[in-house]
Amino acid sequence: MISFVLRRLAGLVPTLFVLVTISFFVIRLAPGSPFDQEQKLSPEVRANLDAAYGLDRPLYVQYMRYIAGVARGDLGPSFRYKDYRVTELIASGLPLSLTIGLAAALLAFLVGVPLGAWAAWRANSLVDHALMGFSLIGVVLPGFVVGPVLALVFGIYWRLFRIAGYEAGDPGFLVLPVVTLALPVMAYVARMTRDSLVDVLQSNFVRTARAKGISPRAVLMRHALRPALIPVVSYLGPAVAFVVTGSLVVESVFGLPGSGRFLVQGAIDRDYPLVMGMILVYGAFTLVCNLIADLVYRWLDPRVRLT
Amino acid sequence: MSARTRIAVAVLVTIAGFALAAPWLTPWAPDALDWQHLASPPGFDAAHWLGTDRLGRDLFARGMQAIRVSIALGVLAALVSVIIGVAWGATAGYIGGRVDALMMRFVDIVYALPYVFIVIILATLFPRGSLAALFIAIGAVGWLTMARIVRGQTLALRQREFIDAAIASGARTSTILWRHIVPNVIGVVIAYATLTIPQLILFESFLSFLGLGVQEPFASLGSLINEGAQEMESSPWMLLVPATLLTVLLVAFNLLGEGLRSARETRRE
Amino acid sequence: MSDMTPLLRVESMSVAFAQRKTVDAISFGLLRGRCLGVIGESGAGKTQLFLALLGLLPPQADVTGRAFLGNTSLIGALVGAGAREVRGRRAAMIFQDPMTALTPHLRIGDQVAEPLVAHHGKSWTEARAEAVRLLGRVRLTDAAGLARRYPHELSGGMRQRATIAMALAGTPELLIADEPTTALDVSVQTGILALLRELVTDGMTLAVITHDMGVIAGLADDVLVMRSGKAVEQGTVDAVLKTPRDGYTRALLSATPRMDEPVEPAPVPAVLAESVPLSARHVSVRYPVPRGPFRRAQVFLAVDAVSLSVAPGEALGIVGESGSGKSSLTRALLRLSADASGQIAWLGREVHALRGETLRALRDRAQIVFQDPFASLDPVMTVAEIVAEPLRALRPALDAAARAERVAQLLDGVGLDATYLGRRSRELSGGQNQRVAIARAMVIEPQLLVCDEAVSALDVSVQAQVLELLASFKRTRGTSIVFVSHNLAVVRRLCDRVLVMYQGKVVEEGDAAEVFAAPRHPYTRLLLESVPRLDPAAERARLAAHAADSA
Repeated sequence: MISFVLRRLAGLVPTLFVLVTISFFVIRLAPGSPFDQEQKLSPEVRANLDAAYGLDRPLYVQYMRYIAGVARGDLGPSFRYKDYRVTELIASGLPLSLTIGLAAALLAFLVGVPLGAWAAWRANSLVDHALMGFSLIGVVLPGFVVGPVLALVFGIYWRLFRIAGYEAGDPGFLVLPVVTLALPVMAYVARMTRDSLVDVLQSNFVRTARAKGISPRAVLMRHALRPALIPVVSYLGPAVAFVVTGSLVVESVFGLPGSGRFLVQGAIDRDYPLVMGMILVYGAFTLVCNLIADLVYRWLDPRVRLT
Repeated sequence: MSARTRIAVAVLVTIAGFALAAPWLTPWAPDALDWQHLASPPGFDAAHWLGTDRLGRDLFARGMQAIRVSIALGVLAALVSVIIGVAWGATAGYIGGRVDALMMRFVDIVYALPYVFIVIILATLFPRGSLAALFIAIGAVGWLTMARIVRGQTLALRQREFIDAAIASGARTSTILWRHIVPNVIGVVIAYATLTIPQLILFESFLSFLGLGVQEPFASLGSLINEGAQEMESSPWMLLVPATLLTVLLVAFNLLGEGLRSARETRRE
Repeated sequence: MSDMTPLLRVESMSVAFAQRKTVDAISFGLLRGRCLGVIGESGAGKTQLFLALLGLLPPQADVTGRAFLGNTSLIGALVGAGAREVRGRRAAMIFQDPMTALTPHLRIGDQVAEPLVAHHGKSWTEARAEAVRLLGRVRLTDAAGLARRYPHELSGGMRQRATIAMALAGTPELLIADEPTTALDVSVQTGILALLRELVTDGMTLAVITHDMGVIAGLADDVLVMRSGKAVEQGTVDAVLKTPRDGYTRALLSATPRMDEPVEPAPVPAVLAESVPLSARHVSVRYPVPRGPFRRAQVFLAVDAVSLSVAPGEALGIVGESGSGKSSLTRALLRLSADASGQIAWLGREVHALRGETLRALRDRAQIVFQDPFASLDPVMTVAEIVAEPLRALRPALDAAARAERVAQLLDGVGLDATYLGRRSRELSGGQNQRVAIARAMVIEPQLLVCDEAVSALDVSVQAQVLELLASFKRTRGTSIVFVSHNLAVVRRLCDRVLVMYQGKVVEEGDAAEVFAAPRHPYTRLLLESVPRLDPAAERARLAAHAADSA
């Protein structure tokens, strides 16, 4: 079991490597240079800047230097935010982004699964239709719509939560962003759980369980729930990854200093090391999440155990 | 067709109708500035039914234009993703073996990347404001799921006995693909393509929200929402109008797609 | 061991879904310690009847009439806890397919222990210990080890015994078995039947639902014959099997192939073909079994150097159970799989090395009919298109009108009229679909027709008709038939010569009459012994002997 996990973790390294390499070269394909945004620079100043940041060297040399740096734990200097290393920048915002993301993912599953199970248990009733109606809307609404609307209703009209002037350590600020981020995932999880459970409740082994005369609760919890959760768990990995990376939207809407903004801004500014660093960190996180989801899936289904 | 599907179709037809007829319904052009009605709320004076924005542009006209842009982008991008996805998936599924493994590995890797990365990488590749580049980029993201679905269907079909029966009857491979595989796959493709449209519209709105999508003077629902979010406190209708339009549009498309999908499933009983 | 008050009394019971009756005014009584066999074909309503008695039908079902288990009313009065008191505790049911009937993620021992905890108030520790004892009771070896396993780790027969143990756990008064042996191999069936017979002898009241007359002969004391929801005949097993009164019962009995029925001598073929329709030498089929990304795949030998040939107008039977390699062999003979080696020739022309167009052009010599009538027909095509396909591919000279005529001719030949032309497979029954498949196969008049378990999924009466159809092709057109089946009685009815396969090899071959009368190989003998006899006395003796052997 341990060896299985270790083997899979080791397998992440080549994938990350490929990811970083591809991103490295693709980003540099984009027209424009990091220094274009400033006023027109004279050719000498430009040449100096290029040399200072190593941009005058051939591409493969830049690549090697970058990889060597990563191996040391140094993600390079930011081209845009002078005086800052990429590692510092990311570290400054990452804790907040991770907190929001993981809280949202947790909320989504802890609320979504029971809601979906309830809808399935009362399939085709009013409860079921109502829940699935909300689920449809929840799935469809993007964060950049829900966020501002929630901010409008709960922050401005009803003044329940504060939405401006973020202060670290005050959880009240995080309620709306977390809910905004969690909503689409929660809706999707509820839907998936409901559909899957309705399916499982028709299966032969559930009929057998009923025929044994055990209580409906035991039928649901002991026999039906685990197989029904299998597709939901498969969604766990992508869901967590989506939530953490999607936090950039809520950070933008609610003005929170997370690390999400570095990704977009870095791309626009052609701040290569910053973008690379973000891709590396978020890529690693996604892959680890997928691995954990895979492990949980194998625990749920004894037929697939540890091949 | 179930009642829900019928409602969805009715809603979509109505919206599309308004969007197309908008230039004749309203006296205002989408980029016309009405100095006398800056940021005015929805009402009947001066025919600003849905209000105006900060610059005095009529929100009904802009909203309808945004819907035209969004639907056009969504449908075209869905078409692109269907073409790429079906070709990729059917080839991988029918040939099988190494080729299949390789092709789907590629899909898996791209699929595992959060779409945000794709957005960023694409944003850096294309000059801002290029509409064609935009919808190719969106379509390029949408084909992944379609490829997976088509490949799954093709794989399952290839192992069905009626394919063996067709081979035993002496049919050529091309005949089998054309007369057996495609007709059996096309139902799924249409259902999922309809579900892809709202996803792609959403994706485009997201890009516009980030400032990477449709540029001025064109409006898309995403860029309108972005503007509206900034004026939220003083002019909430600037946010609520495009938000509602987007929601209704997406819900209707989703209901239609879901309806097509369950209609296929019940037919198979 | 009978008591005069019936344990189970059913009076004029009906089950309807939206006005359509699946069970129509059934009445019967079942005395304690006796076994009632309920026989009928698919759609007869037999399973619905018992599901209704246990309250396991969906809420839309409209159940009317009266039924009593002892003094407890079963219809309309069972709700909630009362229903659960009956289910599992006083009446237990086991279902047809043991693989899907057991919960995949729970250990066997826990599933068997569950009724003990729910109904007898035992703790889990006590219940698990009792479960092990029950697993031993149903003659499973290493019961303690088995209890810790998961369903997918057991074979079909073992799983079915485990479900029986699970049913016994609640100490029910009535045990209902729904097609208990249908999903199992022939050699395993005897053991399950013997076990059930033993339970009855020990005092259990049993209701058995089946489509198989042999199961009735061995287990039932009383018989209820059902058709389209109605009770067609009732009586003791001797009365119904030996002197049936109803026409339907008689038809069922005569349609069921028996090992002791008279067989016509192999006819002289009416048409003499110049060359042998099928000749195969040293055919082997190998499948690679992947063993992870870094190890060399192992090779599994599904078919091991099999040689056979079929004469013109002859029917060759290939008999074997699951895992014998018979399906892999048929696919290889029809050149449908790429993993085969050896020499294969159709009508004298060697085809094992051919590919592409050359192979395709020769396909009018050999055709195949598959087991599953629904899976072998393209769901989006009409019957007319399906039957026309070989003509389009292999007789390009025919124009549309000529094709249509030929298609109509063939459909008529298999007993389907012109109204079927525009229909699709999901609108037809299994039997009708299989006839379409046969029409498709015969439309280009092949010399060789291979039938891979072609009648196994059909009702007994339909099966008899299809067999007669195949026999007529043999007689009138001189078509050679290779008939693959696990059902020896069916093979005996149709075939002239027979081949017995076990684990990829041919273990015996010869004239059908001789092989069945005097088998030489132990496996053939085992297979023959496993065929249920249709005489109750003989069948019970057989089951008792089996039980004594394995005790």
